[in-house]
Amino acid sequence: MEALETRDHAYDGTEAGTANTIQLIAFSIGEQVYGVEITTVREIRAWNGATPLPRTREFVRGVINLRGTIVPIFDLRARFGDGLTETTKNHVVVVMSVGEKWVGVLVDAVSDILTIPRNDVHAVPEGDSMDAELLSGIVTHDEKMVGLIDLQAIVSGVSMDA
Amino acid sequence: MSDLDEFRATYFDECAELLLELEEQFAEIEDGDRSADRLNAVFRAIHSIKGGAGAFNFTRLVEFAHNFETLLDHVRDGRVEMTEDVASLCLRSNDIVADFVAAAREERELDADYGAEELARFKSICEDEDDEPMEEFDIDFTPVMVDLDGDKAETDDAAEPIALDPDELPDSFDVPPMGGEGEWRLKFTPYSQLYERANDPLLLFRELTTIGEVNIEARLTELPELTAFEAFGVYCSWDISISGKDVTEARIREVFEFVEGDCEIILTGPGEVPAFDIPDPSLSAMADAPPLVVEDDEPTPEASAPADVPAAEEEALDAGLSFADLAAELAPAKPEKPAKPEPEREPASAQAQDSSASASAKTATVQSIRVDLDKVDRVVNMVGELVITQSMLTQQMDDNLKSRYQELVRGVEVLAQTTRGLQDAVMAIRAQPVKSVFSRMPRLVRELSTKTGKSIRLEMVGEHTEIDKTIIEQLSDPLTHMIRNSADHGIEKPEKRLAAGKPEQGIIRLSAEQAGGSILITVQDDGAGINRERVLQLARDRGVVGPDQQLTDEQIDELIFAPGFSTAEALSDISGRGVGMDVVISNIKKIGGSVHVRSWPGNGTRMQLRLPLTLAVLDVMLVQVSDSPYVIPLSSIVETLQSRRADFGVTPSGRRVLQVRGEYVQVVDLATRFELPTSADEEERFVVLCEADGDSKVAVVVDDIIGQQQVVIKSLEENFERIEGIAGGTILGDGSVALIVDVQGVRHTTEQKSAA
Repeated sequence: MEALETRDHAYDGTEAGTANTIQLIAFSIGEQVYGVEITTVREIRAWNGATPLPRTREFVRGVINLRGTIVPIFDLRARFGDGLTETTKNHVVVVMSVGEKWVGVLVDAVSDILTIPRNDVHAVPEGDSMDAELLSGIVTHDEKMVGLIDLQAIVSGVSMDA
Repeated sequence: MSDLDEFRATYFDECAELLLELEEQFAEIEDGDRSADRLNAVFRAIHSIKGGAGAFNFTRLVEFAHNFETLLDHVRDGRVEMTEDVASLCLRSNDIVADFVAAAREERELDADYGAEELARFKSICEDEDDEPMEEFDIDFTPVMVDLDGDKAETDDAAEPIALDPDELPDSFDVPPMGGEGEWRLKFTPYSQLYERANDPLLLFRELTTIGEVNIEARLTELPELTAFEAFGVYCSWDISISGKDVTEARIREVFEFVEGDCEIILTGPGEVPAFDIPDPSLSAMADAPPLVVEDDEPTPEASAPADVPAAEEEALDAGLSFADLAAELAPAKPEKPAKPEPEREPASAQAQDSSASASAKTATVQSIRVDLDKVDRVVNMVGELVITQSMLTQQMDDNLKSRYQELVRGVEVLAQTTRGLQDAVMAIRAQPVKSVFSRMPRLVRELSTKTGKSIRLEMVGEHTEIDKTIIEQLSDPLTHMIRNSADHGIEKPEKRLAAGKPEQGIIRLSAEQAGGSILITVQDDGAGINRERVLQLARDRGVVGPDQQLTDEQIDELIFAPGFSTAEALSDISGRGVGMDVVISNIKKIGGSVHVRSWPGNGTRMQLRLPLTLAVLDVMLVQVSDSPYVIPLSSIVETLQSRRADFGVTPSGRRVLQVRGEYVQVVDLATRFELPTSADEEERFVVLCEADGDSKVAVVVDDIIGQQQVVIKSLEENFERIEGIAGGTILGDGSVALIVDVQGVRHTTEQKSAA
């Protein structure tokens, strides 16, 4: 498949995160940029469709076969309440590990690798918005706001009955 | 897991194997085979169980096994006759040993007097004989402290190859050597395998003392300096003389029976030329030269022996002393039992070794390695992937490609064959003979026949039929239920049988055979059969069968599996059967099998389990619902029909039902159930009639039927969570994921929903 090895990015001139810095993989949904810690990312691959799962929430796009393992795909745009992503071959799935599980997140594009000083991670402003629920922090990069995804929050509450 | 825990686990694994073997041997003994081979095998197995039990301090098991072994020993050498009575005592004792092992494994205590009766019987049967005192069998693993700064004298003590309490092993027993008449001299040189197999020379010596007066001297000349000392090296050998009027070669050999092949034994009878003056270099060469260790089952050809002789041995040859000479010297005196490692193992000795050769040939057949099931499963999974990838490659090849790259095509074809072969081979690893379950049944039948006062014989056929390990594990309970039913309700009391003109002894026949892609396991009895009138009556009373419903004989027979029908109170008072028969059917369904029962009034009942060969690969029907692929396990599908031919109806409460052959069946539309849009024309859709739990049916409506195929089951929960109505996922040939429909699950939640 058209999987891009994350390592190629990670060692592209920059060192992995140190005690004082964290490295993020930044990806975009529309104009918005989000990031996850690079150490949690297992694989980045092009969107190639998924088998829908019945009776799950809208943002669960279905499951894919990742070398013999079944991995669920979450539509990040839908997760933030912006409706389903209109998928094309150019959309990207970022496969990450959350605890023992592997999950895929559907995003528009992977944009960058960022090295950010830990001190620059700000708390998410209080409020009852989706952001507060799904982000673990906010950093600023190139004068743009990057939301740090709280993976645990993303994958919870998937069942219709829940 | 600590080392000790690991040893414990290994010990119990071994016990399980030994108990299996015992069951087998006793089955033959029960059938009247009293040959020495059988007894020896039993003796060996009990001895091994006892040995390990001693190491773990399972005192009650050791005590029982020890006394059992004593009895067996007496039987073996003819001091006690193997009467029916003794045979049945042995059978019962075998069960008791199994119970003790089980208790030790589960770390619980059995009743204090458990097995006491049998213990007393052992003692009374053997009381004429010298009962070896128990203490002699206490295996004592007292570690020896090694003083590293100590002088040579101290290291000598510490140099015992395994840790023995020095107090317990005097260099020589204080019996004066008795020269001349009646004195046998024995040179005993253990090889390292003797210790590796957890044998202990001390025990052998103690055993020797029961034969006659023994004088033992350890030869410590081979001991190296402490710095050169290897932890597992074997440096000690012993010169032993035995005298007494009862001493015979056979009795001495018997003591060393278990270590045969693991040591060198040179035995010289009274008046024979002593064979002790072998220089040490050649001796150490012997001990260190595995090629010279002639295995019983593969006599080394004479010609090849010299090539294998290490340098030290050659030196010895130069010095004019060789084992060939020695053997030649010994051979005329004892032609039938030559010294162990002599190169001239010829037909004459081959005959003498026949029995042990066949014994080791037998061990060879059960030779195995223990592998974690997880590891095997990982291989099974990878091979599953390989099969899918391979079929994907094959599908990718269009005609254009085929004509242009013929080599590639050929390569892919070979790959396909190899993968199939690999898949079969891997599945075979998981396969095990059903014997492991079957062998528990004779005991069950023995107990049942005692309990019920009926005379029952169990016949077993096809124990070597192989089936997936996971299935075997699930088989024990259903089989137990089925046999218990046959014994309890099927087989009649002796007087009833005689009155019906049948032999007094009832027969339960347990058989396994492979039939195509399934395994058939049959439990058949020659009892009274199912009392259909009473069963039908009871079914009507309980509302399982409507008052006007007419059932065929087969349908009535199958009623015994109906849930809510099979409580013991309901059925044990009639001739029918019923102890947990719905358990049987639900267990068997769980592993993708089916159960059928057929009864012949007055002539018995046959219950047949049809099981899949493996669980790793599932035969499925691929269907389509709302453009997504779903699969339904083939084992649960009764039939499929087109929607337009189906006879749908609506119940007063508005639920859709399907009428099929006079039966009303719940309808589950997968599209509705899974809340998926469907564009398929209602007339063009299909109905898949499936069997759910408890013999009830459910009609699953799908958009289209694509075909049948084999799939590998994948877990959804591994990375996600359980979804109601979905049993898991699988990967199709094109690499996409299809979901497996949980037939029972879709039905269940529908009921819940409608109830809510």
